[in-house]
Amino acid sequence: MKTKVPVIMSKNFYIIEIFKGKNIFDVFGQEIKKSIKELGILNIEEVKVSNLYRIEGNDIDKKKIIRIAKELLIDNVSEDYKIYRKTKKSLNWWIIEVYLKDGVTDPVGETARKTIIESKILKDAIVKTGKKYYIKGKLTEKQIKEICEKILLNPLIQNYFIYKG
Amino acid sequence: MKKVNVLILRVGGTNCDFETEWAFNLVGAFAERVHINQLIKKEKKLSDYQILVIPGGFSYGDDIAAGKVLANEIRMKLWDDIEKFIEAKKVIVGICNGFQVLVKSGILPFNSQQLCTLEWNDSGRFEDRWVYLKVERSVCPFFKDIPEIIKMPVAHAEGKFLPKNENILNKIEKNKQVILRYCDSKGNIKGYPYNPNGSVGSIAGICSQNGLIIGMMPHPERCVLKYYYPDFLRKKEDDIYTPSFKIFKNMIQYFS
Amino acid sequence: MKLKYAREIEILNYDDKKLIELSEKNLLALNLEEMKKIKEYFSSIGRNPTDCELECIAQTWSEHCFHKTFKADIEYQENKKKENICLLKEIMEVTEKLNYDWCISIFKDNAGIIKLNEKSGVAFKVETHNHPSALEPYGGSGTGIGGVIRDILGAGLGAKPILNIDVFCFGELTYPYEKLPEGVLHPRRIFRGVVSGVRDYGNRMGIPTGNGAIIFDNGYLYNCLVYCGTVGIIPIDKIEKKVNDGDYIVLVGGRTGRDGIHGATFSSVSLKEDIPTSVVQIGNPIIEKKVQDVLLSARDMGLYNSITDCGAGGLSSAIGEMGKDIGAIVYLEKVPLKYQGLAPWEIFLSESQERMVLAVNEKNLEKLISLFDSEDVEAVVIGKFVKTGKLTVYYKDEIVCNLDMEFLHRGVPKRKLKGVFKKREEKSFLYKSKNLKRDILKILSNPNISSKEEIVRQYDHEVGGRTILKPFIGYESRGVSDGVVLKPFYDSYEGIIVACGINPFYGEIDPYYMAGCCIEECIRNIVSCGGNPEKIAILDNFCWGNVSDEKQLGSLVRCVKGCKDYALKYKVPFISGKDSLNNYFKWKNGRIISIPPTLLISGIGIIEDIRKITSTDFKKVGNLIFVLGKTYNELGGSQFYRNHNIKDGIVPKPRPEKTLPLMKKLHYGIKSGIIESCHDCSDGGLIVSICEMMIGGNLGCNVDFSNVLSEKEEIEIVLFSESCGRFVIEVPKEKISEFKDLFENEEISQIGEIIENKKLNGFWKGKKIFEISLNEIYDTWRSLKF
Repeated sequence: MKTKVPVIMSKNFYIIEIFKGKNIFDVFGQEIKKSIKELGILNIEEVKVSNLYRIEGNDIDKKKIIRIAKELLIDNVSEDYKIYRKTKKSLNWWIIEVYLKDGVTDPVGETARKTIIESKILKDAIVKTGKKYYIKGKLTEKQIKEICEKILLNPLIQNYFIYKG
Repeated sequence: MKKVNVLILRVGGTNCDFETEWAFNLVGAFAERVHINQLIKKEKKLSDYQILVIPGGFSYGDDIAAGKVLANEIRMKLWDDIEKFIEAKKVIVGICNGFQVLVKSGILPFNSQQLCTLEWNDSGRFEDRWVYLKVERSVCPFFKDIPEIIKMPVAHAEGKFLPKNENILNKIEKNKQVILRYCDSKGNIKGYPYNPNGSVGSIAGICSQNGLIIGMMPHPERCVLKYYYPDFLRKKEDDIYTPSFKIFKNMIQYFS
Repeated sequence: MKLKYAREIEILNYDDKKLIELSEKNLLALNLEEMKKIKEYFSSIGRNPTDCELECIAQTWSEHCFHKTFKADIEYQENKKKENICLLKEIMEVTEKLNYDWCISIFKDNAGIIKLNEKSGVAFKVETHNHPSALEPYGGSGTGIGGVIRDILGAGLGAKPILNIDVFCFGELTYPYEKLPEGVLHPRRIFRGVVSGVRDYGNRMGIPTGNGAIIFDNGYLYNCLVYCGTVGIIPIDKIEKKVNDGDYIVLVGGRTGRDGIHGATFSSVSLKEDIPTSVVQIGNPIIEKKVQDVLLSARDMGLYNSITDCGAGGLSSAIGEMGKDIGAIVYLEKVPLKYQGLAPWEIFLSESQERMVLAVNEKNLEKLISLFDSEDVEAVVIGKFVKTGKLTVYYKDEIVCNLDMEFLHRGVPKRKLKGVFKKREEKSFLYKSKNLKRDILKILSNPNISSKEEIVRQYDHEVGGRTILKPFIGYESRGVSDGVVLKPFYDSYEGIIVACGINPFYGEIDPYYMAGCCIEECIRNIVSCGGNPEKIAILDNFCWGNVSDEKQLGSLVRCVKGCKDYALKYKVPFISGKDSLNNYFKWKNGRIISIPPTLLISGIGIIEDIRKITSTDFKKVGNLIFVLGKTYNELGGSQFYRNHNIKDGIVPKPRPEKTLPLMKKLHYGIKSGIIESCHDCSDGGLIVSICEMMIGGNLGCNVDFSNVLSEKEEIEIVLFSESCGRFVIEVPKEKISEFKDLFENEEISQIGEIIENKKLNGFWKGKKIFEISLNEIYDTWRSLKF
């Protein structure tokens, strides 16, 4: 497949959030919880992790994005999805969204783009992948920042956004 | 006698194509590594082959999820050919990544929409280890005369077999579609590390209802000779060919 | 000079102070003498350089690419003796003197190549990726392994990678978070990131990881070390490569972005509290895998004349190097980009991953491009090699770089450096254990000794169907191997063995003996698996601290001298090597912390038959246990002394005149089946070897340690000394006379017997001195959770 550098004019985008189904063991959430405790932050109750695909395209609409999620991205047995454009806060959870900075190689984003274009659902797209963390516990913003920079991401290559619960 | 033609499907990220080719050639087949684009562009015809193998590796990096993108691609670009291949009662083998592809495209277990998956290992990590496998009395013809307990390596991050619900599991079991189960050296079903990924029912491999399409996480192609066993220096066996060799041989003999 | 795309950089009118400022401001990492040489060159052609030219020179002349320290004239002073020395010459002299006909491509290509059989060679290269891994462990280590794989793909006309190895040095995982300065990642974070980076890249490439080591020491808190190595096989008739006048320059693989700009110059300076971030990058292994698949077909079809990888310095380095004896014209606007907006010099210097450069004759061009296209790999003509003697680079209609190859590659002024080494007095000293059992278990649970299973299992050891002796062997795969044995070809039983030797703790006492010990450990590991000591080649990787410090440079010289002397004595040639200097951290207040001087020796051995090897696990009840070699009071730098914070003691001294003949006999003994298991003695001493052999065999043993041939009859020396030249072996009773004939007149001792009861019963002159159950040994050895 010969690909050109995608030039997408509109800022037409949706975010697909993919998370594990109810009875599926979230091993990565558990691992992060363990690491946070190692950091000396013990006030932590629960951690959940989702994958994010931010998809930009000229001919994108809600129907197409649902098809992309259902037909191409999620595992129909173990995963479920949400679609949004603006992150909703949650009462009980700290929410952290992490994306790679512009220009940093995003192999998963490139592969997702390939499969989207081959499916002909969209003519072209820009895909950025990210992670979304839900953290429950009596924590200060300073502690959340510490968790972010010491465990969840590397500010040299990633941007992050904190949504306070 | 004309040799059995084996197509070993290759895409970006396929890794186990060479040793799989070798294993099939060793048992007397004519195996050929074919890139998926050659099938899509009709430079090669799937109908010229009796066995289709989707070997181990990380097709398209296992990005999004293991085997997912190749499963999409097969559904989108090769579906007609695959359907005809299955109707003709030919053999499809998915090993490791190939198993993930067969399950995620729905070809296994019932050739329908996706009903099972291979989830992340309970350990959350890629693991390479040798496991004991109990050979089940299944509808699959390729495990004839294989000892009840055999050994093979597994090497994967996403290998936890998980059916959508209890009914699917019951149906697979009732149909005798389970070919291999993880166990200990005596054949008892046990937890980690004997069951290396937390698979439901300790299932390591399954087959289609007619037994001709098989998928398995362990790698038989990595141990067709005894020298590949991690304890071969502890045993003084004369036969250099292993049960894994015999499994490949059985696949070829099915066509004779 | 009016420029549209490039920028003119003023130097013609600059004085010394301004020249140095320019170098520092632009991260050129050039010293005053070098800057003056550049000014002189441009004065002679009557113009200022462009940004692209200056960057290209800085990169070509960087420590990373040009190895200025290893090529320098060093005035070296040891105690009161002075001499002049060139480090690279010392190393190369070993290989020249040994002059083996099986060393076929040495020190000239991307990797060293030795002969495997009449038709095939084997290429081996080990690289480091330290700075990037300290800043972004996952991306840094992943691109480290990606880079060394490309070195192998670019060796000769391209070798097929069949094995990866990796060796890491980290700070201790229990170090308090709050003591680290801002911006320095915690060792636990670095450790996890590095392991998963290497895992994800190596596994995706379908290359097994079969050997390695991990060292934990707080000397590596600020600068972790990440060594990555790759072994490849290559047909002998595909080793010779030559760029011809008129060949097209074809760039294949990944696209070019701003990734890793200044990587080559950056790796030549220290890490500081404030760091540029453009140097970190993330790899995409699937692109490299696709490149590898097509490249090897193109090689076999003879579609290109020469090849090299794009590593440090990017296109500038790859094309500059390939065209150095001819000349090249490059059109930068033809380079496929990840995104718009790169300046010409950024395109030329970018270190974006997964790219290779080929030299292709016109008649093969179409075929080559369509072959790459058929598997979705981009291949683009970006220029031509032409006999101009110049490196000429265009961006659209503008010449952005026009340099004489002669100046670029031979113009760098030779550095004159000073090194001083003052030998630390080694004090003979013996610390008596207060509780032997406790000391033994403490050693087994030390992170530097204990099982690394949790980590090593994350790597695929056997993809490719070539791995015979795996990292985990024996009963239920519990044991550990000294090295990895591969069967490179499906249709033959020929084999290769790969192992390594590393021990920075000896270097703190004397880098000369550290070199000898590392070389011997590497050979010992190979021979212990069944390797032939006369068919082993080695690689050096020096990681040093701030070598602008005379003492640091002196210790490097001392170490190189050790490498030379011992390699000659063991008759092992160096086939490739690499140095990573300036591994030091600079605090804001100016304090400098260098890493412990660290030498990694990696080795590769050739054997005729992989069926005639052995492993470390005890095999059978009733078999007898022997120690080959003599034990000395050499506890300096040992795990035992480090556990008790003792800095004194004698460092182990290799004794090649005794050990080499012993190893030849051992090789024969393994090959002919007299010896059923074998394990070398190194870190932790004899006791660790015995414990590991028990674990691998799930068997116990009775051992009378007073029978061990030792310089002094002291239990601590026998159990914990790390003397070189020793192996623990297992011999069946029925082969005992054959064994004794073979080792007649050698320093061997019969020390015990393998028993059914799963216990280690330790005796001294017939009296029981300790008893440890195999369960306790196994659990303690595996107790560490990473």
